Amino acid sequence: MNTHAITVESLDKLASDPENVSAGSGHQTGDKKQVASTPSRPRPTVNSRIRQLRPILLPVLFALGVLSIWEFLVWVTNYPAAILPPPTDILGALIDNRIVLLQNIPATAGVALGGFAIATVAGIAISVAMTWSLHLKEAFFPNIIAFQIVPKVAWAPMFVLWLGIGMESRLGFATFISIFPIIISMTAGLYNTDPTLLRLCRSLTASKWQVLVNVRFPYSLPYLFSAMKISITLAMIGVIVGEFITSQQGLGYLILVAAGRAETDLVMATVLVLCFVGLFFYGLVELGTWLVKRWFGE
Amino acid sequence: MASLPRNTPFSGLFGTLQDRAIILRKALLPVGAMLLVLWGWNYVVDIKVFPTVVLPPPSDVLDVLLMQNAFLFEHTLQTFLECLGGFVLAAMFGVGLAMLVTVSRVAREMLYPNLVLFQLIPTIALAPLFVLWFGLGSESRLAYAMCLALFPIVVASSTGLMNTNPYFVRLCDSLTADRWQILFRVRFPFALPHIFTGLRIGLTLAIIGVVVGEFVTAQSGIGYLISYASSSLETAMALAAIVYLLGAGLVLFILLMAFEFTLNKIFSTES
Repeated sequence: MNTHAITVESLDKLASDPENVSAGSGHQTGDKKQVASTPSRPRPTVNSRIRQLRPILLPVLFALGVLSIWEFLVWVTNYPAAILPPPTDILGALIDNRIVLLQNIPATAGVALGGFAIATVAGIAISVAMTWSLHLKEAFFPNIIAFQIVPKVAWAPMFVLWLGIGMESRLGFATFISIFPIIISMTAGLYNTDPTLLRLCRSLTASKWQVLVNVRFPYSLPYLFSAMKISITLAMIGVIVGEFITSQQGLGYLILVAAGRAETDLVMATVLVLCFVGLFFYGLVELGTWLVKRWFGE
Repeated sequence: MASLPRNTPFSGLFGTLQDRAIILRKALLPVGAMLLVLWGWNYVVDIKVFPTVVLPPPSDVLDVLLMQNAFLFEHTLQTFLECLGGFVLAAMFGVGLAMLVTVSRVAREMLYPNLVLFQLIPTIALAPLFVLWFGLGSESRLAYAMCLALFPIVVASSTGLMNTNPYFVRLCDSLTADRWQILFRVRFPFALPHIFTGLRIGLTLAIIGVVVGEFVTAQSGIGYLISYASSSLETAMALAAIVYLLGAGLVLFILLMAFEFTLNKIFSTES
């Protein structure tokens, strides 16, 4: 589920792609043969200004193109809006239902954030325990990895059964679904500390606790942060799936109700709101990472 | 000391014995831990902390597992086929799209940022929409699983395909290989590890997609069974269904690993 990790990595690599660099910095015709992608058809000469804007212009134009074709086709074919509403309808639904949408944000966002916070704290505690004793790690870690394979969403109805149809079940499920990446990454991070450092600490008679707090923990922070980014996304998924199964409020509930009434424009507007909430959380984790990095960097 | 397991003082003296003890411990400890959890579960049920509706004893789950065998298998088979179908579709479209994005610069610049943006949409929230679009049958789950699995596959595959060692690409270029030859003979084999990373994530998401799709609306399948059994308080049945789902997931992962193995073999013997 580490789609975000891949995205960031690939973007970095894309930026350092030699083809892109040669195209972006406006080399003249001699260099063009090096661009392997279009050797057969010579590209018309465009001025460098447009070429610099190309990486921004093309995707935006493409997106706008798709949206306007969508809008146009829906109008021309008179397609039922219940199945595919035009983009303007979605925007309209977003504005018309802003109060309902805003009212339902706290239920979803609060539970997701709560589950994420519990998962982070509990996950760190479990990883520390597994670092404390190698036997504990050897006993439980393989089981946790094996447990990972079951699609964890399958447990959602069980949480409803165990914790009732209230907020607790969704909180429990969000915690459950988002704790695994934290445990796995954090344990890997705590165990992957530089062995020479550990040996140095041992020869300086540092206690287990001192080694953990001063050496292992700072070393495992990058692992923790990359896991937290996955984890916050999973917590959102957990809450939404929980709301699909049973709830009386929240954005997932709103989607389900709107889809049941065939108000597709409201469904898409809600998805858009969810998108922004997710982005906001992701940004929050990113900000936390930056702050802690600066703090530990000194 | 827990931190330095390999440098224990015995390692020189009783090499093989030590190794054997470590292997034995590594195998026995997880199994022991699992048995301990099962025993604890049984004990908690015995002293009646929770009613059996909330937590049935492991033996009940095993009973359902064995007695309702055919019934469970039937539902699992449907879920399995839907997962497989959705995943195969996503893999074909995903790798195809990644190839298009790699070969054509216009396509890349047009599509790639949009693909990355599209990933931000919580696709899990779209489940009810697919029911609206494709109806209550398998099609909606198939399409939903595909939609969920597609993005990681595209992103990972195109990352792999675009980051082939530039020297190889330049060499083949100077040997007048056309871009399709470069794609299939050079880029694709080199990108296999990346592609399979994407496929593994995609497979997990495809299974999630089918199960969530079955939660939202279905008359059969393992997700339906879990949600139906737990809402009618047949907890043992729900847990047994989860065990079957685990089995189906394992089979899918083994199939994917076998496919990776064969593909690697084909490309390593070809060169």
